[in-house]
Amino acid sequence: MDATELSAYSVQHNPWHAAMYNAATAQTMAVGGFVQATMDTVEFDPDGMVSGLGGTTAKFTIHQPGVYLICGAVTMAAVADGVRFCSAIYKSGGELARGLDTTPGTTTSIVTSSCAATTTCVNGDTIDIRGQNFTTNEAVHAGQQFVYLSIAYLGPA
Amino acid sequence: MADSLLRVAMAASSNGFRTRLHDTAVSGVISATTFTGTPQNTADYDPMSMGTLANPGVITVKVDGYYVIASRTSYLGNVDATRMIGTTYHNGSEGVRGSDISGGGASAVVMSTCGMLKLTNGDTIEGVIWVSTGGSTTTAVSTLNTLELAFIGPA
Repeated sequence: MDATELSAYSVQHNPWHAAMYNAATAQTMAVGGFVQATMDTVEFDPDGMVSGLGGTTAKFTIHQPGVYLICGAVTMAAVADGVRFCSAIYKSGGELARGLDTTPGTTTSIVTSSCAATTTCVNGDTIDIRGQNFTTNEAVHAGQQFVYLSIAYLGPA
Repeated sequence: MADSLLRVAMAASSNGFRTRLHDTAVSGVISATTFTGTPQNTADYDPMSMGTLANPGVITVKVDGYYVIASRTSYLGNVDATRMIGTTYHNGSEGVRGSDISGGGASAVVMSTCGMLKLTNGDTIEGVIWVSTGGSTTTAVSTLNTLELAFIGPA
């Protein structure tokens, strides 16, 4: 295989995409700073980017430098009226992009905060999603469509 | 290059498996406590004719693979303490939830969703909204009601 073929293969048939979610694992995010979301199930992960399932270290590890699209969400089960909650995508331990930052205006309610971003990554970078409660500890509302994180390689940096 | 690899590379590099729809005129009626599809009446691009311009608008996938999906839906009738959900349906069930919020006062609301799914030929994608109280409409503004999908790579 020559360089052109290798490039075509790596760019067009790349395996650098993955998705995971929390199907049913209970988690309470303590009030204060951002808390890493628990994930317990892989949806697809052909290159083995996922690690830390079942605990609060679930993340993607980058195996190929480039530009990536990242999408995710965190859902709280019961946020009270006037209580602030937000999510954020973290890259290598630092906040990369803030998701919806909201305060319910009703009685206790489920709240979903989603976030999407593109970023340049290098080998070994990690990506995870976190939630932040500002007033009280809050329980996560688990489910495939409620707590999830996905990533896809878009092209060379 | 192996034939199968060449076909994959050519199909991926020249694929038309991307669609973007939006709504400019149809004002969709949203009933309280009912997951309601978002109308779409205009295609920004749809080279493989995967989009159905209707109320609700739908994208039907024609090749197996990994896809980025995104939707945006609006609600005119927001009042204080109304709970609102913006989500994306995959084959008639929730695939990716974007926002679940409640209003703190009377205001228009737009909620967006972005995610990735592994889809197969014939799968459908649809933007959906749910509200807890009151009936209202989507806003029929091109930037506020959209449905998008793009092929990332073969499954």
